[in-house]
Amino acid sequence: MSAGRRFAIYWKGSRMFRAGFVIMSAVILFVLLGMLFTPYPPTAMDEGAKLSGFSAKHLLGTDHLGRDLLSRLLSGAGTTLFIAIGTIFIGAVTGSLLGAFCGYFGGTADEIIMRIVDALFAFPSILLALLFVSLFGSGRYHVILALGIAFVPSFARTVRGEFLREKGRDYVTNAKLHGVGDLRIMFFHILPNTLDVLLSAVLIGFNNAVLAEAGLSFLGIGVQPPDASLGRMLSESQQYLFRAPMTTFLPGILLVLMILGFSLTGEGVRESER
Amino acid sequence: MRYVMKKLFSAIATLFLVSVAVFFSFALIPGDPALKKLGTQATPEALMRLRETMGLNAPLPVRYLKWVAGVFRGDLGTSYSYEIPVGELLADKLPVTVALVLFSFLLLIAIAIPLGIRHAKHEGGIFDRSFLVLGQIVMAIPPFFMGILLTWFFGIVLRVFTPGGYVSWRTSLTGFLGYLFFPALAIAIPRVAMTTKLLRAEVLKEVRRDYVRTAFSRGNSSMAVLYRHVLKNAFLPVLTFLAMNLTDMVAGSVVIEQVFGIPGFGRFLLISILGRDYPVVEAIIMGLAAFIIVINLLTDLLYRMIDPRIGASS
Amino acid sequence: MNAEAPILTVEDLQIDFHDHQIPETAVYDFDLSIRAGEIVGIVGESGAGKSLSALAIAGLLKRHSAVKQGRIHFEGQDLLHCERETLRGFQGDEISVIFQEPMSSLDPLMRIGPQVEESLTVHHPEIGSAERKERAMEALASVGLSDSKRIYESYPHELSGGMRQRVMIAAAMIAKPQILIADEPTTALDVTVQAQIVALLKKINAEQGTAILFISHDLSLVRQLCRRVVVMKDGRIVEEGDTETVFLRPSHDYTKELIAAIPRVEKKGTAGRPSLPETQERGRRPILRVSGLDAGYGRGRQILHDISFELYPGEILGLAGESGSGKSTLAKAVLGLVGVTSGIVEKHDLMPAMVFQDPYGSLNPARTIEWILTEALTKGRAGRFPGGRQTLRQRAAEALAQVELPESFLERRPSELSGGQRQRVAIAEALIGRPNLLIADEPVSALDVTVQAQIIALLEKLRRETGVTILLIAHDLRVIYRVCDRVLIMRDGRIVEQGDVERIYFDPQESYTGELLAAAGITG
Repeated sequence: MSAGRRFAIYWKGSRMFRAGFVIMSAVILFVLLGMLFTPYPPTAMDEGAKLSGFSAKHLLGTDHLGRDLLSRLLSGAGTTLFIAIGTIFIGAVTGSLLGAFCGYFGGTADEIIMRIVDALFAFPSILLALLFVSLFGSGRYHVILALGIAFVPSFARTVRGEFLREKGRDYVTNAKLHGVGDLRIMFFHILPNTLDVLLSAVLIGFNNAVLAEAGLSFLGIGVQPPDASLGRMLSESQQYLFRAPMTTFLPGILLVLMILGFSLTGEGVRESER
Repeated sequence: MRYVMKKLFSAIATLFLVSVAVFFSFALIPGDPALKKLGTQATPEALMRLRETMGLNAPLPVRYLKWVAGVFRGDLGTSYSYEIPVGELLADKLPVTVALVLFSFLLLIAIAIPLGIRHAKHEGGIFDRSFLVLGQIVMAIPPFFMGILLTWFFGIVLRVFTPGGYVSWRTSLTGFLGYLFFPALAIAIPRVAMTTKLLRAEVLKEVRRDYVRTAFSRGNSSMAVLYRHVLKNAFLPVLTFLAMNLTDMVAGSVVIEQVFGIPGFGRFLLISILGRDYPVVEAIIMGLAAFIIVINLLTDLLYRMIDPRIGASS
Repeated sequence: MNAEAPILTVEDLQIDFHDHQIPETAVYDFDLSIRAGEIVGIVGESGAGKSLSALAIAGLLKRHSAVKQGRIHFEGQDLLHCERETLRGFQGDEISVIFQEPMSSLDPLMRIGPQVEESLTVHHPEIGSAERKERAMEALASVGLSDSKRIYESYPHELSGGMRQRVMIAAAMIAKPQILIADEPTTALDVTVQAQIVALLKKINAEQGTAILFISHDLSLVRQLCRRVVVMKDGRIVEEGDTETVFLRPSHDYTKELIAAIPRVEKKGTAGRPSLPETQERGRRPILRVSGLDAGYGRGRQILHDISFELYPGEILGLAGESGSGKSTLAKAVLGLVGVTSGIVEKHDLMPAMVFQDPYGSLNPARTIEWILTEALTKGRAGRFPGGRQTLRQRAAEALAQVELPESFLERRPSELSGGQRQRVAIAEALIGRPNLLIADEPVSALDVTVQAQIIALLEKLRRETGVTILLIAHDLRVIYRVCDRVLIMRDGRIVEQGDVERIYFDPQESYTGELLAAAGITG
């Protein structure tokens, strides 16, 4: 099915998808804007204007070091999204391949791999990420790797389930009867039938990855200063909650919008699937 | 009975695998704990001696066995940073986290289940639709931001509690529980939204099943159908979800303890990770793993008690 | 009570669907009356509105379908306009229902006992639990479940399909209702079990005088059971009357079509059957010879035992038997999809292709018909098909023309087709690679009677035109009689009997074959 046609189905079929897609697009536009332009360098400190409120000079005010909040939001949202994309790329590609092969071929290898995956899956992904970060060290690429590995199990399970179900259907038996090769059956016959599920898994994965990255950075073991990341901004500003609650609320709200956009879009896809 | 044994065996096997994985990954991490302790100025002889006393010179499998044997004796090793047995360090923190997690789990059940049922009963109404929207938003709020929002609203605006004013349970049990209320709420709220949504969806799914039509055909009222037939069936998936939440909440406590300044298990894990205090990290991770595995085992057994179909096939 | 006065009358019933934006009327001007102790049948194909009407009478319509107008009189009340409480008072006590799927109609987490007792629990709380249990045991025994003690304690998944339907009947009859509404109660069951359930309903009607409203798509079943019949099509009653009259002298065109669509089993002798050279020349070499075959899914799951048969070029061989008899497994064993433990499968230049029961499952839902057809031509055993995209498309269009579908269908997806059209596409897909053996696994059992007749006619035509050999798996003995030259009767993984259709149907040697034929209402 063409992408446009698919989009039309989702758009018409689900209010959640419409709401989520609008929010998601707005957040992505905001991030793209941040890549091209920030009013100030995100790390530049304005000594004279610490924790200043909204003003003409600093549209959204400044943080405790006098850094321009809008600039930091623009760049921080980018960092968070970048890490989420990296995470999902690793998690989705590795997990889906693993799940596809395990689900399609079955057998002993499947049993061993899935047992490991299940054991990993039992662990909350933030805990796994914490463990991996303590093994690999922090910093944005380590975080991507750590989170990426932590996200493999959920994709592997989802895709395996799909392949297991689809391979029992008659169109696959029929293709086998015609002597079509296994790889072609997997990727040309079965895969197109799992796209909806995969898409919603990716979108909901995005929402979880954003959440996990923000959590790690909030704990101080994710992105390292002076890089801006939404989680980091929240933890840095928490102690000024009394004096300048906006420095906390703005990154928090942006984070919520980002998560909301992905989760609603994902739920919308899942909803119109039925 | 065979089912129980099978599950028990698989739980033990998983725990063993996890312990091997955890132990070896920390043993193989680049960086010598002895060197770290003595600093780069240390003489090779001093390093040798310290490694000997820390047991770092033995081959890995031997070190693993010693560690496991220690765990069975209640000896979890010695913290690098504090030089006190890990067990002693944790004895203080564990009850705090357990209390926090149990508290929020109880909140979760007490709020989510009645709410989910109410939702399903009034499907499509104003209550249902507005809570659905609210639920979606609440689910998107990361727990730490929820914690900050609660701190701001109840601590700074309403002044119902003092942010950062943690009270130990040794000083005052009521003060302790009182302080834990908002952190527990912060952990619970997004999960309340998720559980409510799931329960609502499950009830609505079950209502469409044929046996519900049968129940109506026998003259049952809607309430009787709901309470006699539908809820039991709808609870099955919710049960698994709640168990998964319990384990997730333990992980979530790491963040929430940080937000509210609670000296528990999770916060200590964080400090130990940042300080590369591996014996502590290992002990905590193993403890969490054991907890998670036990919870999953109990869920499986409970599930089987409720659902006669499990294990009946094949 | 006056036997002639109806106990229930339905007047002018109209039911609307609110599934989509625009309400659709599903049932129009439905009138019906049921007298005490009478068995009335409603027949029609899917979408005719027969189940909806029955559910409306039972007060069980779902929320998205609503009664627009009409009256249902029962015991001096109008069931459509009375208080909810009044209606509930009748449900299960005076009007009971049994459904098509006995498995999903029972609460999976509740033991059978409390489910059977439920109508008593609801309507007669004055009855103590000991007496209730006693009545449930009696009810279970009276539907032929002799092991009632064990069944009382069982869960639904521990029983067979036939037992579950008996349990449903016991539960429906426990409060001794005046009317039992049976909504396709035998459709999900095997033919011999079907016959038992029909006999049980007859017995209940005779002994307890309960009126029965029997809804079915199966005309021969209705003919066996009902004295009066209502024929529905597209939401309207097209004909109503005494069953024998309707069957023998149908007045409405649709009824005629419906009756004509039932494959007839009447001794034709050699004259009635299209004489094929192949069936006479048994001396020819078979394209498939199976001898002493044991096969299954690994150790302990041996399904087929000692199977021997031959398949000659150009013939249509039927494979009949109830569910679980191993019919489909045998097809898979022939195709090499199931492990063979012992025995020989000799194939001579065999190029097999397959048509499945559920055409939606066998056509890749994510692809267009063109993709599906050309994939079958270009990939796999068929090898590289010479020619460009245009030639391929032309071949695909030809394949569609062969199954009487227009070229415009190439752009469509399986979800945009009706059940019958999908099955045509599935047949086109199977035949596009020019196989010499077509294995058709229950190709018509998911389809409506009139569509069934079309697909069967198509299979006959294709055999005539292309000379393809067909192995037809079906549980419906009438379908087999209509198209097959020879038939294998299977039971529990073994061949009970095989031979020419005429001989097997009119002179069965094995008692099981006779039972099957009798249960299907063909003989006896």
